[in-house]
Amino acid sequence: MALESSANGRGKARANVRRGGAAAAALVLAALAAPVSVAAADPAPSPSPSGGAGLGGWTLSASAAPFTMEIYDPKIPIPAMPGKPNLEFDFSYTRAGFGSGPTGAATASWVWPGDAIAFGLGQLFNSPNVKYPILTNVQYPGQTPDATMQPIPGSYMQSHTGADGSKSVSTFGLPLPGTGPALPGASSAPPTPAPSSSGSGLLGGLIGGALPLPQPRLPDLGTMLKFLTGQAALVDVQGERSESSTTVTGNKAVATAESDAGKLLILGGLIEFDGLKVTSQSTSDGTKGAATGNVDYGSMSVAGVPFGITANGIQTPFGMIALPQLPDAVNQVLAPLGITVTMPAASDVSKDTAGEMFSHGLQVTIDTAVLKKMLPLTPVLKQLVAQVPTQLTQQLPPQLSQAIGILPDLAPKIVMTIGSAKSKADASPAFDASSGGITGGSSPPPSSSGSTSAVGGNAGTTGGAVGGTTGGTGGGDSGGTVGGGTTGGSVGGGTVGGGTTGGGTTGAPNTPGGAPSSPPMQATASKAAPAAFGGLPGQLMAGAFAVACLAAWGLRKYSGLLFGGAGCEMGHSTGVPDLREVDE
Amino acid sequence: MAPILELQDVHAAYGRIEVLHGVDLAVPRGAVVALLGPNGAGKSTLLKVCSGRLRATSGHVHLGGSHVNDAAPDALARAGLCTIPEGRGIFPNLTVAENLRLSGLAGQASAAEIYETAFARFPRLAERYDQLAGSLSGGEQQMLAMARALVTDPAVLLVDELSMGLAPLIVRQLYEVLAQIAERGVTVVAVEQFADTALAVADFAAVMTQGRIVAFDEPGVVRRDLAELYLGGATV
Repeated sequence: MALESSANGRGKARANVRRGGAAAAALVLAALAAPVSVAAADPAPSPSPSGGAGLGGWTLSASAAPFTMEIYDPKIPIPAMPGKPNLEFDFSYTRAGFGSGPTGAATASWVWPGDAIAFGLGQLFNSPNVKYPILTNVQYPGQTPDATMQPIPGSYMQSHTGADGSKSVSTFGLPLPGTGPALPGASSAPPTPAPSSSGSGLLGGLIGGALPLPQPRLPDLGTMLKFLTGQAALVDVQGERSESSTTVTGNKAVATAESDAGKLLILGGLIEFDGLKVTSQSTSDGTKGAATGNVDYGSMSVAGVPFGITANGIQTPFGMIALPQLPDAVNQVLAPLGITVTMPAASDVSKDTAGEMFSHGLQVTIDTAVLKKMLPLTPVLKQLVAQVPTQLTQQLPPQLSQAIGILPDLAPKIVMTIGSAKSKADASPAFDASSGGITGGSSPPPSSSGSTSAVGGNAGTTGGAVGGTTGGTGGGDSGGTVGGGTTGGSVGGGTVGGGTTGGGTTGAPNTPGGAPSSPPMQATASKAAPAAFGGLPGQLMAGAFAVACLAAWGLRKYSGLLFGGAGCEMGHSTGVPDLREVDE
Repeated sequence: MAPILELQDVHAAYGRIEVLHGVDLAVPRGAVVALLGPNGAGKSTLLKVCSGRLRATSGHVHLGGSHVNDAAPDALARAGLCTIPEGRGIFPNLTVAENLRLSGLAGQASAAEIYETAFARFPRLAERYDQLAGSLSGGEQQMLAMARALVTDPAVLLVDELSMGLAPLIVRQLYEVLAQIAERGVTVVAVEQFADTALAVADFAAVMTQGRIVAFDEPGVVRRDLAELYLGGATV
């Protein structure tokens, strides 16, 4: 990818994202030499988060990227899970994760190639010293809670993680969002707000009202000619930024992701979006999860003709087009080329205590197999590959040389997503060791025993003395069973609750510094075993077995009597006579 | 005299392969019937159907005037139908005495009565009282098999290939014993390939070929036509 930095009227650096393998290599080399600053680790990190006193356990994740390209082709020699891309490129990619413990991780990359390459580049080159350079990645607990990087002027990556949460920021050509650090090398002037207008975009318009309709004007033929003559890229993103954060405050766990593309040019500027912004936020208070998402396109122009995106659809010089009709119409035209366009969507898949939202902007799927049938590209590609010097391929790692060889045969599916933001938050209520129950929750589902186990661990840190379950309602029983004796000894004041399901009146005394005596699940299993075969159920089981045996014997002995046997057409009786006593 | 064992249009099969194609046979009470025929004619299969070890797919099996098509083998054995299977069916790792006692378990007889019955008919076994059955000679093993059948006080005795693997002299002796058993009123159906030996003691002879009874008559008549019957040139 080639990146061009230039100033525009708004005083912001903008970059054109272009396709080109050689340029990408140059970028990697540039990033290798780029300054990377890593903050010193906190010498004594606090084991408990600053927030989250009202929550027992949580799992948060967020990721965002203004522009994503995913490539699916099993012939590509890069391992991938089923349904996942073999190769991907995310520009200004960020992600953040935060879990109770606490544990955290934050990653930011201006050009993110996916986990397989970002963290497995050393294996690809058979050298552990080879690391993917355009990356800030921190973990908590760890030695580096903060990291920043500025590969080239105008770009910036920052990651932070700690007991208070995780956060990543990546930007190129746009000012840092919110209260983030000042962009080194950027203008001291206050950041100009993104051109998007809150509440007036595609979805924002649905909520906040319609934009004033732009006046139609003649198409920009120059732009069209530029694209048709190959002087413009398929997709240009001029200015991009994303931010992902995960944090816990009080009894609320929040995961937020936001991507912002300053200006997006598709087909060499034939289609132009200005101020495309995608947000996603998921929250959980331990009893219920919630999520919100938004896709804000700001404004759009096609061939220089501006369009207004309103609550009723897209206002064109030729009339209003309802939103649902646009994809069908576009897809009908593009289908013969193997191209599918999906309109922006925000999918709320929240369930129970988990809030989850995936928002994405325009999505373009290109099936290159269809394209290759229409355009005889394979012979051309084979000729190009044949011109690669043999000495060069011999020096490359086997995986790469093989990849070059199969290039002409590739027919991948390419999915380009302009603006994506994903967030997920799940939490469980705190466990109050003093009362021996779950607090803060009105009715946690019993199925969340796994999360409740972490609750037990949290209770241990406070030195709770009594295990078992009395508090909460609804699913509190299971919480007491699992949480009662999980990790009470982690900080010395351990409590190993002896409560069984719904019990909890007894508990082992505090054992300073002691480790938990036994996993509670084992204790539960051992106590459940006799109950399963004793008492009334056991008697019923034994009785049923006896009845079955009796019935089987009876059927065998008296089946002829009961069912009359097969009968005899000759008039003979059915049954077995005693042959010794049969009359002659 | 009503037949004690009667088969009418009996068909039987192993899976999809039908072996008996409509067998009709009537065995008079107290008679010795020699069931003759070449290999694969269905003689042993017919005995299995009679003893309940193989269900007839169609037709009628009557025993003592009753319809016993679906009767279990053990029920038939308790009723007085005893089988000496091909290969003798003794327990080689038990002693002679143990084999005899085991056979007598179903009845009311004591061990002494069992021994008395067996050893009176086969004095040789008394000499082998505590010898493992598997160490007996072939003839002695066949004696033990017959003795086990006798101690059950059978009314009908089905014998499958009594002569298999034995010297002609021993075979002749065993058939003499079989004749003595029949004299007590026990009905005997003996499947045999050595026709002369069986016909010597039989009251009637039946010839089977290809799953059917092709001849049933007195031994003299059957002996005369035996070669032709074996070749399938005669009909009943």
